[in-house]
Amino acid sequence: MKVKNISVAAVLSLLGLATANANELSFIAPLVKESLLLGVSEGKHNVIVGERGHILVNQTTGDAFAENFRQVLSPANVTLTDVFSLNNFAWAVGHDATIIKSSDAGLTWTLVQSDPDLDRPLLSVYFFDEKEGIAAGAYGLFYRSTNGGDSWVQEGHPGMLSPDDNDYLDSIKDDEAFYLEELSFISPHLNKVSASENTLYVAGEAGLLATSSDKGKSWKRIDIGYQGSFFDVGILPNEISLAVGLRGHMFVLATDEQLPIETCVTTSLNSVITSENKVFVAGNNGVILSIDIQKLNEDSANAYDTFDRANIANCKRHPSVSLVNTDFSDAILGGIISNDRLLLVTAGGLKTMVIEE
Amino acid sequence: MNPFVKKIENMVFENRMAVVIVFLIATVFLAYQASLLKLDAGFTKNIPLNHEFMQTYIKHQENFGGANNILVSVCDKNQTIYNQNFFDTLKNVHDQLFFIEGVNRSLVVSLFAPSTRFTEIVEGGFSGGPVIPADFNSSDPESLQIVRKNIDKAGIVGRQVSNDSRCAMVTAQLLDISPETGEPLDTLQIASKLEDQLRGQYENEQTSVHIIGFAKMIGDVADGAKDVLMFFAIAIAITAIMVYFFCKSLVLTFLPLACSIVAVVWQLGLLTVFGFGMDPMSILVPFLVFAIGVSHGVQMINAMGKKAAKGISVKDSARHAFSSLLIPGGVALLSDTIGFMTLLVIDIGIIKELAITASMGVAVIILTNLLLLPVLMSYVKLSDSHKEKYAKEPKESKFWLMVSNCASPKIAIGIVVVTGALFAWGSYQAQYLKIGDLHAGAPSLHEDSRYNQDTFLITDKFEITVDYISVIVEATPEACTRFEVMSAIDEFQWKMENIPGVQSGISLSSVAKKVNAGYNEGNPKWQALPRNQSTMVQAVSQVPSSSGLLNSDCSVMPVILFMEDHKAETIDTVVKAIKEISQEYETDELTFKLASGPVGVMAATNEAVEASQDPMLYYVFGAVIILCLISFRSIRATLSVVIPLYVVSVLAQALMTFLEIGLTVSTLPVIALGVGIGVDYGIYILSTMSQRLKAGDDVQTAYLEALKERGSAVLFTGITLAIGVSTWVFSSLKFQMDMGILLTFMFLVNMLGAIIVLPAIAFLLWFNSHKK
Repeated sequence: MKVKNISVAAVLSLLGLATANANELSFIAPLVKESLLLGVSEGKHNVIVGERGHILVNQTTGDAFAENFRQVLSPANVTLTDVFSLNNFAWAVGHDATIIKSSDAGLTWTLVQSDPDLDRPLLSVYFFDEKEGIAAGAYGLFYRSTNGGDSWVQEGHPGMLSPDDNDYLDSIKDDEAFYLEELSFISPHLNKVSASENTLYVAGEAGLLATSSDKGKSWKRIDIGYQGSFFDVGILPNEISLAVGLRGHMFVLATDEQLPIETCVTTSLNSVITSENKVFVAGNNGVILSIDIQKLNEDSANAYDTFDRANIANCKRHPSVSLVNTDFSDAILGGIISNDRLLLVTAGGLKTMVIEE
Repeated sequence: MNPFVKKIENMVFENRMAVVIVFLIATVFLAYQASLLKLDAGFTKNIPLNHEFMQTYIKHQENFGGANNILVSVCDKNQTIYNQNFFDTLKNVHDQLFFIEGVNRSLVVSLFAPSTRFTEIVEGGFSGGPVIPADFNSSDPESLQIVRKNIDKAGIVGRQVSNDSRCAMVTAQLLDISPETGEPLDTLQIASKLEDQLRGQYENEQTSVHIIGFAKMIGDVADGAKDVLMFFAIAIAITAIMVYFFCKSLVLTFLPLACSIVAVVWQLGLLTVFGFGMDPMSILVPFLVFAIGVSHGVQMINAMGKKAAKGISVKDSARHAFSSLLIPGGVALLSDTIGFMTLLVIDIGIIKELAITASMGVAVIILTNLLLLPVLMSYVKLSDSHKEKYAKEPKESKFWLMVSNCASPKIAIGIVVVTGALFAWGSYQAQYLKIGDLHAGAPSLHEDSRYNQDTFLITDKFEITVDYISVIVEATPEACTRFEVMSAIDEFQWKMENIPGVQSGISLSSVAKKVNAGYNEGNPKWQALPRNQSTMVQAVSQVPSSSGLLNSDCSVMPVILFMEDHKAETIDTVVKAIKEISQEYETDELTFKLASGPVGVMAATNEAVEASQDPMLYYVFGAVIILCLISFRSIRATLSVVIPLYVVSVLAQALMTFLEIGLTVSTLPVIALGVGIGVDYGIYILSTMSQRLKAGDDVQTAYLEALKERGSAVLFTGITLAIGVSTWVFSSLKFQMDMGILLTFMFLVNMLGAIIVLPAIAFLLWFNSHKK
């Protein structure tokens, strides 16, 4: 099996069918579906990315059964952290500020950007349309493309910083070089960029949650009063946005207020997985929470002890949240819902779970 | 008659009393020595120490431990481990193992080891501690809950706690030299301590204790080897009954058996004198010595009986038997001795020991059965019934007349054609003879033995086993801080994990990646090797050198690959892949060296065994051929003896393929031993034949004479010894059972080879003699 795959790769590269840099092609591995997988996108083909530049694509469109995914050749052998699909296009980002692009919905890929000297990973990618998109990552790393991802321009966004950091930056604004250097060091990690119809959200390090209404050109920080990191903002079917993060923290983001939702778990929550009528939140140690949207707005005034993690044994879960029993133990990074199944990308590979009503 | 033989004959028989007294004194002395003989097993004896892999193994043994591991799985029979009784037992087992002499105390690992720690991510950094906190109180359910959570956080499920949470593991490594006595470790003593102090003390209705590792395995083999004595007794009894029916004389039954036992006593005594012990794996050698002794002894009483039946005095008959058998018997035994000695070229301690044990044993048979036996026989008074037996010649010779047709034209050609076909089939099968262990678990023990059941349980419930191979990555000092080095190790490990047969892998790189994610709030998106050197240092510095993943200056970092089993094929695939894949990453400053770990040792042993297989046969047959040439002074005679022997040894290999017995350190010598057993028959038959042929007889007549003189003894010995060893299939040791089958085959088929194939070949080779 392995030999066969390698020879296919060899033939492809001989015929010039493989992407530009043949040396960087990742090793086609039998165990790829059990390796560290970090990002998944829904599109014409569903695309999954992970460590060592691994890219998995389901060959038949539409369904998302784990067995339909096959590894395709990758132009990068660094860890890829996130992927986004739109129509016939797909973009993925990863370590060494790597950006790769596909124009056939994920079957073949080209390397667009790689900057090993920068030594900073990109952690998220989002496209507004086929032309304009953004990529975000460690230490506030932020790029924008307006030509469908063929070239990228770096941007700095002090709007995401805390008021204290902003005060400091204001004080050194005159020395532009120093200002930019400091900005790139004090900026928090941008873990995930996501968007509702009108609003762009970023979830990041040290309590960072920020919104933008101009495609990320300017940002407004949400003051949430929690200093732990956020890993995702999910947009629920009824346009409610749900922020999830470190040690089981979860908040409903409303226009004026943020509603803490007690989950009674202590592991990081990495991803909000949504479909038309279902919402799951997945995290480290194989934790999956099922969210009942109808109950999310229920009164939370009966003193949920959101911040006292030490007292978890006596914890009362918010009525909207229920813990799904699984036998997973690996960290879950994301997933997609397909009919009655939940397809999950985890640190231990691709997992499928049947959703029970 | 050879004047030299005559001279010896006179010397011996004119001083009969003196000879008997000398033997008596020697036997008493050596019997005393033999009583001091100890069972002795050692890990390094089983290893080809000069093999390239083992050089790496020895070089790094101090830093990374050896391959001599002990795994103790403590299981709760009824519930999960989180109860007071279990934790108390586990603590006791840990402490008990820790204090067993010869255990490397710095490498005893279990939940109770201080090195078993957890870390968790909290806002702003790490928090962590020992999995079992200092204030742990096993009677407090809350305390147990804390431990349960710590175990989850530490990520040790599958390694230290079984996947079903019903067992926990205590692992240790054994030293080569006891730190207290400075002597090599007494492996069998450790094995019995493991059995008594761990299992004996802590296994009960609630708890089971499963112990695996080389020391335990060899201990169980040694325990099973005690049954071997019983099987020897059975074999001796069967032989005695058969010999009695053969010679119809109690005294003549007693003498060859007694002389053969004397040979065994001498052999065992000499082992002590030369400072050796008896390895459990060599336990069957004394029986072989006994068998070969009986084979020669029966020839001796047969030769004497025939003469005595003709009315010649017992003393003269004995003298005659002595002088007529000294040369053929001597040649046969000498070629055995030299043949066994050639096993010394194989560079594995245990085979060298076997070479010495076996060749010494066979050499003493020359003294006991060719010299002492006829001397003792000369004192015997034979009854009439005995003489009558030999008088019944007509009936017997009818049978021999029929058998002698093997040397008649049509039948001889038929036999040679069939033999050729068998040889072709055997050679074809023999190429599929596998090197190494063909089955999971310990091949010396039955599949349903406690040891193998424990092995299966541990493999099933845990993700680790004793089946791992360490690839030692050698680089420059501080290499673990360099991205290129760490990344090469990481990619090598990943490619190896993708090889079928590899279950999982661990290296400093794979751990450093997880630590790096840990430094980034446990976010798996950061589970990658940092390019930045100081970030790399930060990640690597979290891994202590006691983890066995790096040495003190991190110039050496093993990649540990856990394997699904240690079958020969699996090892072969993995070793081949290691050699191939490592080439992609090797530079002047970065080399991937094979190998350490139990499977590394097995790989080296398999390679050494494979490399020894052919030379061993060349040497054994070389010795037989040279001695035959010297004694018969005839190429044709030599060929007649050697060809059937060779065919049988090829067929024995085919049988091993068929029975799925792999060629290992313990089975490798069997073929050589088989040649030693088989050569006797041919030499006895041919020594009479060649005298006749020289006297001008045609082949069939010469053969008939040989059959009359020696045939019944050959036929008898083959059948008797085959029956004796065939009882071994009931042994509690799989190893002895395999040997029983193989030796039964060797005894029988070599006998048939000498009686059926030898004359047919002789007929073809002496083609011109029957034209006369």
